[in-house]
This record gives sequence, C-alpha cells and structure tokens, in this order.
Amino acid sequence: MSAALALTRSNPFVSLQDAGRSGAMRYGVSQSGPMDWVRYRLALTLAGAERAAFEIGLAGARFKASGTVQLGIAGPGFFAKIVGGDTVPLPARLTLGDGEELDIAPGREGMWAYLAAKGLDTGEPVLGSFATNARTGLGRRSFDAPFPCDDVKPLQPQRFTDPGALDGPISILPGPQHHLFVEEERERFVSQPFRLTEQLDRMGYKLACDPIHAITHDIISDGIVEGSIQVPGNGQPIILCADRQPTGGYPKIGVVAAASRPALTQRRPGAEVRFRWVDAEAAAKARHALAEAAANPKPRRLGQISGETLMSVKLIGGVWADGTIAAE
Amino acid sequence: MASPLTGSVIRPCGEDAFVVEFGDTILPEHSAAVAKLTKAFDEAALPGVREVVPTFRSVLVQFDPDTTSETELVDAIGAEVAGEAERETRTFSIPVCLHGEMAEDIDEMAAELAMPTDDVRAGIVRSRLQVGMFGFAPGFIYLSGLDPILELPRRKSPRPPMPKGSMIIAAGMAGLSPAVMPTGWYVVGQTAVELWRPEQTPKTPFEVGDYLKVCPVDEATIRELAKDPTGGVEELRP
Repeated sequence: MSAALALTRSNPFVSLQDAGRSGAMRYGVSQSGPMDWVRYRLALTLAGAERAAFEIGLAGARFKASGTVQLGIAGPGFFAKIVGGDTVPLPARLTLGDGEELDIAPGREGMWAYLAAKGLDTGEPVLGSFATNARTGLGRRSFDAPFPCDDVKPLQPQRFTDPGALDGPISILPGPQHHLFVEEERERFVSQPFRLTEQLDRMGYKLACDPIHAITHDIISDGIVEGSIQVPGNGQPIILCADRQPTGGYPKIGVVAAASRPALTQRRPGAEVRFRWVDAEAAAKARHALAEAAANPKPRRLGQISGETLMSVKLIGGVWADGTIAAE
Repeated sequence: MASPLTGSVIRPCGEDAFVVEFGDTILPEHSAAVAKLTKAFDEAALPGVREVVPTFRSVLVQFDPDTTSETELVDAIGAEVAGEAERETRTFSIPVCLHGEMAEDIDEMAAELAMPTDDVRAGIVRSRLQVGMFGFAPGFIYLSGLDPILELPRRKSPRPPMPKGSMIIAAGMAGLSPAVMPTGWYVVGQTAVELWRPEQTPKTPFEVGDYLKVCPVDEATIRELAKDPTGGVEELRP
C-alpha cells in the first residue's frame, strides 16, 4: 500500500523544484530549479528521495499525510511543527503518520525551505524537469491532488547540522561584460556595501547602492546564467535567479559563485551584501565543500524548544503563549 | 576550413560557463558565425555541456564544471571542423497578414514614423529578416534585418496581450510571438505557423541563422493556413 502527501495550505510561494530544465534555454525556456541548491539537495538526502522537492517561501505551507511518509526538510531559520505535536528545528528527517499534519513556518532568518518525501511521485516531467515555472506555465502549479509517496515505518525525528555559510561576503567571478566596467568600478563593486531591496523573487534580487557605472548600459542581448549580476542604466544591480529570462540586454559585471548563491538568496529585504572577487579554483573548492555537506549531513542531538525561544523568534502568524506556532 | 571560433572573443561567465562573442552589433555575418558554432556544438555533443544559447552575436556555453572545463571545450570545438561543409543558409517564405484586426498597431506605427501605412507594409515585405535568437518566452523569435526606415523605439507603455502568432516590431527588430502576452512592441501582422512545439523535434520551425521573407496575404488566407501547423511556411530553394 502506498502513502500520500497532500499540500493542504498552498500559496504562490510554494512550488515544485528539481535540478531544473537543461538544454532548452536556447528556445527561451527558463532553467528554474531551487533558489538554494544546498538545502534542496540536503532535503533530498534526508528524505532518501531522488529528485524533486517542494520549495516553500516566507508564507510557509501545511502538509498532510495518508499512510506514513518519510520527509527530509531543510531551510535556514525555518521550523517544522507537527500540528498538535512537537516542533522540530531544521534540517531534519522525520516521518508523518496517517492523518498527521505538518506546518513549515519561517523563523528569524531565511527565505526558502525545502521539503522532500521518500518516493514522491510528481507525475510526468515537462521538457525533462518537474520544476514549476509560474511565469511560462511550465510544470505543476496546482497542488490540490495528493502526491503518492513510499509508505514507511515511523521514526523518531532526527536533527542535522545546517551547512551554514550564510554570512560574510558573496563570492563573485567575472561576467561576460566585465570589460565594460573600468577598474575603479570593479574595485568599488567589492569595497562598497549593497542592500537587498524589497524586490526579491525567483526571477531576481534587486540591490540598492551608490550607482555602479558601465561604459555602456545597453548591449545586444546575451545568454544569462544563474547568479549573473546585471547593471542597468540606474546603476542598481540585479542578481538574476532561477526563473530569470534566458537572455537580456544589460551588462553583466560578474556572476555569483554557486557556493555563495544560497548565502545571497537566503538573505531578506534590507540585509547588507558585500562582494569579493574569487577565481574558478576557489569557487570550485567552496562548491565541493557545500555539495559534500548536503550529501553527508551530520546528525545533531534533538533538543526541546522552549516556549521562551519560540516567543523570541519572529514567526508569520505569531506564537501562542504555550509555545505552539500559529501558522497562517 | 576555418574554425567555428574564428573571429570571436571568449568572455568569462562565472565558474561553469563562457560566452563566445562575434561582435557587439547585429550583423548578418555575426548571425552566420553564431549558427555555425551552435551547429558545431550540437553535432559534437561533448560530454558535460548543459546549455548552448545562440543570440544575435554570441553563443553562451554552460557546462558541468566537475565533468569538463572551458579549455577542454574550446579545444574540442576548435578542432571540430576538419572536412565539414559550410552550413547552408536556409530561407523561408512565411505568410503574414498585415491588414485589419490582424495588424492592430500598424497604423499607429506608421503615424509615429510619419509615413503612409502602405510604406510600412512595403518595408516589412522588402526586409530580409534573419532569426537572431530565441528568448523572452519559449519559442519567441527575435529577427534582425528589418528595413532601417522602420526603426522606432518601443511603445511608451506596453499594450494588452497580443494574439498568438503575432509579428511585432520595435527597436529595429521584428519578433514572432508564440503566446498571448503583453508587449511593448507594435503588432503589425499575424502568422499561421506553430512557433513552439515542445514535444516535437525540432521544437521550433526555424533555427538561428535562417532567413525569412514575408509573403503578404489576407485575413481569410491566414485563417485557412492556421488549420495546418506549418502555417503555409515554405523553404525557398536557391
């Protein structure tokens, strides 16, 4: 007998993601994929799942199980609370029993969480991927029907160490129009502070700063990889993310290193951002370290969460006096 | 036979990609070079290549950095040409209705250019349009080669969604749109060809580098041609 997982409280910030669509950027198809590839992979590892997980944003989500499902959940600052039961800090592996419901709610930091389930059946891929891209209508956008999963034996929740690396400067490498920025501008890019604006979404993150100038801000369109840093005429950079359009006409001074992308995308509006130039070798080393952490997570002792701790954490919907989270 | 990289500069693009740039303007020779290099990558099918994205004047190559490297790929592609024939240029005739409701903005565009609408139509028909790249949405085509008298800026404000199969013009380019979506360009005509068929091979009826000649037809003809996914498009043999 198979089990199933249903999303009982969906919202526009929930989507299904996998490693993304490859090979179709040339036709104008966005790659999509997770905003934080490290926590996405970690969730899969913890669930014992192969591909595809739910991406959950600041509006949270609620899931319900039929049968017993095994979940892997990761997302800096987020909590998983079994409705009527315990709260588990993330990252964690846990099982949800028949009829049980689970709330995923954001905490004091972080923007994106991932929930994977063992044996999750997400139907047929579109252009080789299960990733949802709301803008172009690719992938699954309606989550009303439950998703079949493996039925498993119940386990006690297990907690793991988050790979961390959320603070500190964002590593960048030169982009295709690096040569359109004079030396002083490239140096200023790594010495001045930037701030994340309110305009952050799966297409891109807009930054505010002392304007950065290019020799020209209009170029004939180029292909755009994830993490590209565009500088339009107003001198305020935009970092292009998973659902970006595949081509565009603003100069790109740099590209955020894969190892720094989670650190950037998990920061909230108003957060400070500083950059540093790195080379491909340093980028590879950092990327491998994070991939390793996501593939081989270290277990942590599961501690109790006190009511005081929960009260001190800013949660969407607020916290009741007895420490339970109101997730709405 | 010249390497498909001849005449290019290689630009950096992070740790898992590079851009082969043939120029920084729209010129037919750039589109030809882009098409040739794209074909070379497609035929070589080198391990570790994730994306090859041709544009008007460049090719972005993204790869898995744990499988291959920029150096390896550039060396392999540079060597790819022994004995290979030049890619033949294809030219297609594409029926387009440039009248009535199917050309909603053509009068407005003509007014902006201070010329009679028929002059705009003549300019479109005279143009040797070339597929520069896809982008913006799946199957959306950007075309170069528009007669220079038809150059005008994008609309001051975007207009409501254009019909599927629209031909649009702005900023010295023409576009063919596979989907109903808002645009800042001028809707000047309607085609009958199916522009995006993801389940088929190839997924699009045209490739980067192909030339298109507009064959003006009336509304009834487009409606008739729309019953067939080829929309009356025919390759013009030399």
